Amino acid sequence: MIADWIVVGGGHNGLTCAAYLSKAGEDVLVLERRDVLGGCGTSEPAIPELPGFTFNPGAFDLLGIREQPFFRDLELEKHGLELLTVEPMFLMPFPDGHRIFFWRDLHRTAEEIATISPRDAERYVTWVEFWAQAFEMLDPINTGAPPSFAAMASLMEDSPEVEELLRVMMMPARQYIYETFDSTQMQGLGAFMALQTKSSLDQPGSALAMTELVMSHYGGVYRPRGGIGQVSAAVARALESYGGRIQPEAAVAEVLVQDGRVRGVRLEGGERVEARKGVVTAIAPQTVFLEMIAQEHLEQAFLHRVRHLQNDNTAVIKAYYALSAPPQFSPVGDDGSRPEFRIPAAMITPSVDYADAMWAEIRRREIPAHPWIWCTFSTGLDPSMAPPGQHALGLHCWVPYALADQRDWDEAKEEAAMRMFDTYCAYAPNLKDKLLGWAARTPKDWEQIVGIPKGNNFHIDMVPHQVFGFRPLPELSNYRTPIGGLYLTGAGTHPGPAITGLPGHNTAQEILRDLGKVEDD
Amino acid sequence: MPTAQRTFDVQAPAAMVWAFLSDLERLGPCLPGCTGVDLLSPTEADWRMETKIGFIRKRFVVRTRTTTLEAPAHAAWTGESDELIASGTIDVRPRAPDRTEVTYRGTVKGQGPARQLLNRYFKSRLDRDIDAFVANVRTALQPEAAPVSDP
Repeated sequence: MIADWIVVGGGHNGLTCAAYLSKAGEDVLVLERRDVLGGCGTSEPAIPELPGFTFNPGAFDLLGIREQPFFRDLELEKHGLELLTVEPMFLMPFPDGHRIFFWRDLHRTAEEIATISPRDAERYVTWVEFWAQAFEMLDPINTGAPPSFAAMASLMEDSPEVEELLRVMMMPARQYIYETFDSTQMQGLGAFMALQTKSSLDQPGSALAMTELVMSHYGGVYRPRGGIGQVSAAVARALESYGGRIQPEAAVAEVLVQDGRVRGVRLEGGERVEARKGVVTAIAPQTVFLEMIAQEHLEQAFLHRVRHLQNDNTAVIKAYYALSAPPQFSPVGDDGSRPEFRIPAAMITPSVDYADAMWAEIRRREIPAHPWIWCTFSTGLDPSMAPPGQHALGLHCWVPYALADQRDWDEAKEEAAMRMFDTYCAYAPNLKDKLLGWAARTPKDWEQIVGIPKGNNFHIDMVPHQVFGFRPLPELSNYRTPIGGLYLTGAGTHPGPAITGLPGHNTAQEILRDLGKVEDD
Repeated sequence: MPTAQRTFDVQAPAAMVWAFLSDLERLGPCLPGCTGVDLLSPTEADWRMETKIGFIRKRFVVRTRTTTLEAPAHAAWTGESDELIASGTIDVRPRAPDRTEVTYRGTVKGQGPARQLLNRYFKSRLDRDIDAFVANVRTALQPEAAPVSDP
């Protein structure tokens, strides 16, 4: 095989990068190790004995996708992506019987919060409106290689809002949570959102993760019919419509380098694939430089920095449950008659104390007894995910990559899956005897199946020193590498994980700029 | 560089349309973010601009120069500030005694240390701002339409 460009990894970012290059007239070949496209964003029958159920092993919903460049530029709807509007966007239940629906309408959401704390409801509106303005500044930062800090500073003016933005960017989430909200429940919301980056609530800079919720009010939440894998499927169709090629079950073992330039790749079976112009890797950067390139081609000082990329001991487990009935959240007022209980993803972290307990359990390398859980009940909005009359549920939480006492994840899988299920059933008790089957993907499974180091779906941690112009390292942040013709994309590059297509789009723009096909900035 | 072009009709005679488009002090407020125009000479002017990105409010002055003037049908201009370089053309064509076709074409490119960011910002805003400009020109010449001034 031969191509102008080889893209290693058929996740949505690799496919997006390939599609942009193909659209610009380049000859592109995507090599994917699995027989399924999508990386951490696939949709698959995950319970072998129940093939009629489709689950999302990783990502599940889309925030603000209609505003992302790849949605428009690659015409994803024309290529078969059907988006279902998730409204209400989220549900947060609490053990005291309260619950909050998060609607796209900010003021409707505030009315929900006011049933718990009128003061927090007012603060929520002010807080969202402030961060919405901050995110307006993020758009030009995220839709390309990260600008230098000097460039950003040249646009900054002294103002109370800019000072507040900079202050919060340095704050630990715990301080910001207590400063922002009074009620235990809304503090729990703050903790849940802050923990999305898998940083502790006391890590400086962890406060910023709380603000992701703001984007949902402005961009909306969507769920692809047929599962999140339909995003990658649509991008793949776009890619092929431009003449691009995709080769599944083609695991790459080595990136071939000669005279300081990339020449192609070698597959695990030994076959060599030549790249006339270059290679893009859409996999974890540490895998690329430490495992796929002969080390004589790289400076030792650079390799030392790559070895010390932070990929902490916090990974993900996702479990899937085939159910014979939909959940009924009776402890929080669901009598079964209101469909809005069964549409949104649910968030389980009812308080900061709960989050602290979870984090302590992870630090002790235990399966959390207080799991932080994203809960996605797919069939409430998309019946196609299960056979008629049956239902599909996905739960995921953070867990240690390495369990204490060298306990193997294969042995611990069921305990972790059932602990999440039991936690969910505390809010949906009708499901306790409705389980038809289950399966789970542990950190070990993620590593073996998808190839992400230590089961980290972010590739490397989302911490202040590994974001923006530092992701994955300052010298790699513009997607170029020390090897001529070798580029990076994927979750381990700016602006990071989530199904946005932004890393893929941004890498493609830099390649096209280097080829002279896009005007230099 | 980001480029936008619009062709639109105005319910007004061509002479009136040309007179309006040539009068920069009257034309300026039609451009989103323009807070005023100071004429320096028959062919040069300072356009005072204010734009808001999130809570960053940026004020700057773009000096424009008319490079081609073929009254009453065609004009071309360039503009520059520390932050950007711009250029454009306007073509006016009578379609009927009280109807005129206007074609506006504009490009803008960031410069300076923040040019990358500015280019992305301009790219995201240009279509919207040009649409607002068209709507405001129509309003000025067809008073029954509603103005758009969002910077």
